Amino acid sequence: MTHSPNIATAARVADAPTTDALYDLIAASGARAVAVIGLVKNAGKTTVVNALMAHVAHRFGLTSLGLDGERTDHLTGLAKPRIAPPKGTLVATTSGSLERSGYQMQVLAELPFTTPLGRIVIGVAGGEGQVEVSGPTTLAEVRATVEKLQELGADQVLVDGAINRLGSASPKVSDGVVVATGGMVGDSLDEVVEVTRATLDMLGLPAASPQTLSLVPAQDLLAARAIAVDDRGGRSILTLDTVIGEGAAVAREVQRRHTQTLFITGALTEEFVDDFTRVLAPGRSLRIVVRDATVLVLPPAGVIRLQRRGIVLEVLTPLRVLAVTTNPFRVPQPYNPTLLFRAIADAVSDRVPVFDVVNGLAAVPAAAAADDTLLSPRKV
Amino acid sequence: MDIRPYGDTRDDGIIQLSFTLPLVYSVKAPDVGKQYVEKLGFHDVGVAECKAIDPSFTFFVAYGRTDTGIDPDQVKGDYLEVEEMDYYAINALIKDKLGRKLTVVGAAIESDAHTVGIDAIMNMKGFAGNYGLERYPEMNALNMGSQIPCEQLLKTALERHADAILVSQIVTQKNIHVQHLTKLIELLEAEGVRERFVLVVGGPRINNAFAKELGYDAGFGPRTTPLEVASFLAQEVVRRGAQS
Repeated sequence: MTHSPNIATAARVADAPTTDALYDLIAASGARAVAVIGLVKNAGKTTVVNALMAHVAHRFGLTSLGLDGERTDHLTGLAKPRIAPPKGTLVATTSGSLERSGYQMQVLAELPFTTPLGRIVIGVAGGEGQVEVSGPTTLAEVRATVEKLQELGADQVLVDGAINRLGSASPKVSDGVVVATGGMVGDSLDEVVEVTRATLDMLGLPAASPQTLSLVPAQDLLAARAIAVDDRGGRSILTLDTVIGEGAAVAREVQRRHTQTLFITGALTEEFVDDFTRVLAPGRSLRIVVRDATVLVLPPAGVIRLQRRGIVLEVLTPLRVLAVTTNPFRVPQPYNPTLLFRAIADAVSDRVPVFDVVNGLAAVPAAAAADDTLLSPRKV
Repeated sequence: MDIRPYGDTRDDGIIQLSFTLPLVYSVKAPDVGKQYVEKLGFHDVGVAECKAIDPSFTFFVAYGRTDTGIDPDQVKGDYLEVEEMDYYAINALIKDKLGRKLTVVGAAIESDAHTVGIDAIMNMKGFAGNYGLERYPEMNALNMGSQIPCEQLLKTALERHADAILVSQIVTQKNIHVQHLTKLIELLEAEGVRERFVLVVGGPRINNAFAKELGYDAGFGPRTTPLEVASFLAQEVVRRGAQS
């Protein structure tokens, strides 16, 4: 690789007032586990995690769904931000990562989850040196790790994401989400803004109303893959092993049974949306309820396509997006930080606070700013 | 303990180098090459070959002695630690400990049209003197081929009650293939079936740590043989079977 290291994301020093504001927001959110997810690889997740952890008064727990804090990125060869947790931070990583980074910490617990890099170990950071953080492989294991970190005394657990995965934002794992976006998300600034906005729309899908939820008993939602409820409240469980690849069949069932509300308990894919909307009669009103936004394994445009057909998409458990962070990094040339920040803030700061913790930029929704005097960094 | 390159005798530190300089060949070319190698830190340098390969380029083969050594124990990597077994031992392990055939479904996913990797590991004739997984009597191996959507791969794995899913992928600079690899994981998690499968990814730019970052159970890079993959699969599936 020939990229010069000075444009890499590594070794960025966070701007103190902006980081304080983001920290205050996260600490005050009451979220017990905060997932920091990136819309793309190198979106700046780890820089945000580092900046938050610098607040030593707070006892953070730290783990990762992916692999963070390694010296250089495996794919791009670019330097990556190192992780130097302050003394007292509870860190859950793998034995392999500990060994690779030569990090010393007092080990408190070992969990029975194996990863390609060995077992999961939890320890207390001594405050010296840099550690590679790589948590468990599956979401169920990440959840158990988060619980263990809480049990050992973490006030809040930060879950660093993996590449572009949304998984750690799942309510199974976390109850607050920070979305890292940046210059690598698209080929142009317009695309960056559009993808960021559309992804936030997707993550912010509304919860189904109590009336809608009362249509189906909770145990059915656990057992069945798809449940169709008709206009008179009649319930039918579609006998499927999965709805994947069955978009056309499900659409025919919806037509036949006069379904008004369709509960899907697994993944919703682009292929499903394509087949489903092709077969479903145009103008047909329908509500689709999925588990949460992380089961939407499709580009945000797929959601928009459903909505344009008049289909209302809702979730059983909504996600709480606490903040968006921006990172001007891009290969080969970074964006002007203010330019990128302003473009994203203009598009989304009416609903969620936006921060650039490195360049000291912040924009908060007017309503939140009015009743929250903690948010004091300079506005743009 | 440090080791050094072996040339003629143990620990002599002699290395052979071949390189090309953008230099018009002339009588002084061998000295240019020699002094360049000395600048790299070698001593007792000898230029064995020095030829014009083009009007403006000169090719060299040189020998030099180095004092630098390396202690292999200090090299920390991200290697998958799996005990390599032979073909018969793997079959016997599956038969004795699992008590049924081990089912594997493999594919090159999404837009990836390269079958060479998945074929080398799965096809009966195998690769590098090893039989492929299809040849193992104790395995049901299905090679779905290339350009298989993640949805289809997952559906097939569910239908066949697969123990393991093998994904072959060429990860390019544009990183699009990375998104294919994470898509499969997100799909499995959304469907609530991630725990059912041992997930293995292989490809020229894959290593074990990267597999972890992606959310897979193991990653295999270039020069992997079917025997290594089969050893891992048999041991991991048996281990999980013993746990549950």
